[in-house]
Order: sequence, then structure tokens, then C-alpha cells
Amino acid sequence: MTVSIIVAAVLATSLTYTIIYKLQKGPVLASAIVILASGILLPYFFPEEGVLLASVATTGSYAAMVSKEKFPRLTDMIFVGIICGIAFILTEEAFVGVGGRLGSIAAISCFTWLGIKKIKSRVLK
Amino acid sequence: MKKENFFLCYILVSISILFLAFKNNVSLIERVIVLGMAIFFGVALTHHFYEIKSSINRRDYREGFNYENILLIICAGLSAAITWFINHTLGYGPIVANGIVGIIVGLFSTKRAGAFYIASFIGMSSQEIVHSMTMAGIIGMFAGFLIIFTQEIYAGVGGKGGTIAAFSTMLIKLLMGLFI
Repeated sequence: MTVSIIVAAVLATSLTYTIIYKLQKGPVLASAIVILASGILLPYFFPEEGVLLASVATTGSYAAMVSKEKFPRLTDMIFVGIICGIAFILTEEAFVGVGGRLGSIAAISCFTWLGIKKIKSRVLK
Repeated sequence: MKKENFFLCYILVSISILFLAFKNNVSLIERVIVLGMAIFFGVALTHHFYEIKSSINRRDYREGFNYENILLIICAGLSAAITWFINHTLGYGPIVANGIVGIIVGLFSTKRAGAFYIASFIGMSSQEIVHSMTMAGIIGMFAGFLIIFTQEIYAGVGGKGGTIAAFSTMLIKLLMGLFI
């Protein structure tokens, strides 16, 4: 289950990022397309865990609504997706039912990756 | 209210989630991961604060109560209320509701799509948290106000909208609990 959550998050972040910057669609439209598709398709193909995976994909999709200055490469999004999946598992019982919960998890994931990059650049200097 | 205080409110939302994650996960490995995330989060947040410090207290002409901003606040309320309606009254669930509203605002309102999309997150709340469409609308309007006045905070980072929505929902729910 953990693996499928992380895979869903990575796919959602990468796909949203690609739609925004490769297909040149706006972040809102890109995120909404990924969310709507995951909300319809995942519960259909995976009846047991589809709703949970759709929530993960939604979180990943929010996390990919970033600026290219801060997250210049698709690789950044893959790492953000991994962190996002882990954060989703760890925060399963926090803020349940509160609108914006998934977005808040996405923000934590993005800042965590930025922090890792910052520390890495200082260590390698 | 100073913008630094809004910044602290946003941090409070993120830290609350990390704290609850730390509290709810009992295994050592999980707690170490949460702590690690908190440390990296803190490092990035400190850097982000210094990055936006100069612009945070600059008075922006876009922040006044002009016609455009009042319209944005009203439309943000509508966006939250419509999402709540699709989510609970029509029964499509939060993800599909958010997706539908997102596609509509993304196609028809390119300039302010982000603001309406953020407000839409509020309509994803459960009925235990946001009881009615009217309440979703009120919280959406408050979120619209926050969007206008805190443009630099969390800018360029995914999940900014979710943090605004979560903060607005919790604050308005708390205030309503005190007075109603």
C-alpha cells in the first residue's frame, strides 16, 4: 500500500508539472485535469483503495503547482512526489475533513524538498 | 494585521499538521521521519522568510479595497459554495467537485483562476467541519481576502492555496463556535 501511495503521488506531481510547463497550460487547469481524472478513474479501476489513491494524487497535484524558479526540473517533482506520499501516510489522522488539508500537506512536502536542496548545496559548497 | 502575522498563521497550520503527525505516529522510525521533515521545512521556511522580507511590508496597489478585489472576494465565496454543493448536495465527493470547479475556473477565468481554485478547497471540507453551503461561502470570502493581502507568502510553492484554505476554515469555524 505504501508503495502504491508513493507511486500515485509521484505520477500526479510529474504529470501536473508536465502539463503546466511542457504543454503550457495554466497550473489551475493542469491540477484540475489530474484531480478530476484521478477522482473518476482510480476508484473505478481500484475499487478498494481508489478513493485513497485519488486523495494522494490530489495532494501530489497541488504540490506540483510550483514556480519554475524554485523547482526548475522534473526531477524535483519526483522527489517532491516521494516526500508527498510519505507525508500523506504520516499525516493520515491530522486535520481530517478540513478543506485545504491536502494542500497543506503539499506545502510541507515542497518546503521539505527545498530545505533538503538548501542543505545539500551548503554541504557540497 | 501585519503581514508577518499572516506568515506566522500559515506556519502554524503547517506546524500543527507536523505536530499531529508526530503525536499520532508511535513508531520510532516514523517519528524520526517527521522530525527530519520538520527540520528541512524549518530551513526552507527561514530562507523563504528572508527572501520575501523586503516585499512583505511594501504597500501594493493591488491590495486596496477596489472594485476588482471586492469582486474577487465575492467570487471566491461563490467558488467555495459551489464546490460544497457539488460535493455534498449532489454527492460527487470532494475530489470530483474540486476537479469540476477547477476546470471551469481554469478555462473561463485565466487571470483570477488561482484565487477561485483556492476558495474551492474550502468546499471540500466534510459536513462535520463546514455544515452548510452558506458557511462554505463565508469561509471562501475570508479566503479571498487572505489571497489578496498575502500574495508573497508561500509564493511559488505548491500547496499555498491549501494552507490558506485550511487556515480560513479553522479560524472561521473557531469564531463561529465562539459566537453562534
